[in-house]
Amino acid sequence: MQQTKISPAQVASLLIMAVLSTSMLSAPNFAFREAGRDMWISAILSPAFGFIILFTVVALHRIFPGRNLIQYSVNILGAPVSKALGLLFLFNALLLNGSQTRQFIDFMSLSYFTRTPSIVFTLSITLVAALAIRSGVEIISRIAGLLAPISIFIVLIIILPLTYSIDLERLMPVMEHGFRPIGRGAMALNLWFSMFVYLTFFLPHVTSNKGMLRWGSISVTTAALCFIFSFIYTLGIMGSALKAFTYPFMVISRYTQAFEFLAHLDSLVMLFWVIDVFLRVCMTYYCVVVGFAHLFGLRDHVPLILPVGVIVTLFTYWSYPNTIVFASSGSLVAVSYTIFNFIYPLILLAAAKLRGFAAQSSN
Amino acid sequence: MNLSKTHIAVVTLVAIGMLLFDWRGLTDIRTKIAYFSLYIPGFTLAILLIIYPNLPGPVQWMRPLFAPLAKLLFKS
Repeated sequence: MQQTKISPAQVASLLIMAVLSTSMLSAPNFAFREAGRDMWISAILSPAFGFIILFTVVALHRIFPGRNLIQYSVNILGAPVSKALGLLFLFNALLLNGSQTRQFIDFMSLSYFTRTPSIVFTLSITLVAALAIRSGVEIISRIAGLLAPISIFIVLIIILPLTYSIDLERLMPVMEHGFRPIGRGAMALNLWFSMFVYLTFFLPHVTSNKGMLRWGSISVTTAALCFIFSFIYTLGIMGSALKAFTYPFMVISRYTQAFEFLAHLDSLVMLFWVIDVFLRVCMTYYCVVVGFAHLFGLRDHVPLILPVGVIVTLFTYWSYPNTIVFASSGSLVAVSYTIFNFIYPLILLAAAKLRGFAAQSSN
Repeated sequence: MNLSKTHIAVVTLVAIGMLLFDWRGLTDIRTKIAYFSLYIPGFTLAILLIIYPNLPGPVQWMRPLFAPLAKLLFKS
């Protein structure tokens, strides 16, 4: 299992896709509720969280080469505490899985397939992802490396004709309510940047730590740029009406018209979104499977793929029975993600340094 | 009620099918313990959710724990 090697660029594109998929659609609304018109300033500040988590995870991997967060937490905190915290960490990851599948089925049934039962989408995306994971980590990373440029190209096609409609007056006045809303918006965006913690499950397969740091930084920066541009576009086009739409980016893509005869580009959004969600589900699902395998001390994660898939499917419905619960739980989920995906690794690094573990590899 | 009986039957069939599919991969006792500690809660929860669709989930549990912090950090 350790022989499979993947390149840092592939993991970086997997991470970009994972962050972009849900953020392109639901981030503008959530950030607007917190930061108001200043949400684009929050987007400039928020990659700081991404960089902190990236450097933390790579530093931890330098101390314990070839191991992931679930494995080295046993060395740092001792077995009983680390198993309990690891279970909570995986529970949080299952919640993340449930929430992304929820967004996928909501988006599909609200916008395109209004009569199909949602369980069809949940089962199909989970089964396809299960097949991809069964083929190994190399396959997931290669699919990401292959599809990431196409997805980004599609987004550019959709977004460019809209540049004429932007009214930058709608971004004024800047910093109407001071720094607090901007800080809240940046914390809200940590919902996405804290996902970089899942890098820890891919690092044992990556060829070099130094390359991962470089490519990871590129991927954090790209994600931040996408946030800034999508915020300026949605805000510049819709203004304060933004808070009325759960998926503003989807709405503006319906208005896209290129050269006055290319219309209905929202079908391209769906193409992009399905590819993207597939990659994101592959990534987080893989992380949960590998996490559980290491929590139980197994050498091979393949037998656990299907039972974890059943739990992921259930979490979609169990944690979010309907769209209203989903829409009202944004801040709660953000707190949970911040605690487990952001603060927990920081505590692990601090504890490892205090207990005198030194970096073993410098590459 | 009739509908939920059909749903339970389908879930049971899926559970049996999955076990048959995975059985060959479960070689040692450790893998079996790990497999069944995910498999049994999974399908129990599936059947519970069919009978009581409004079972309070993890987000509702989190509410009393994280709501004060969420109120402090976020507006909505």
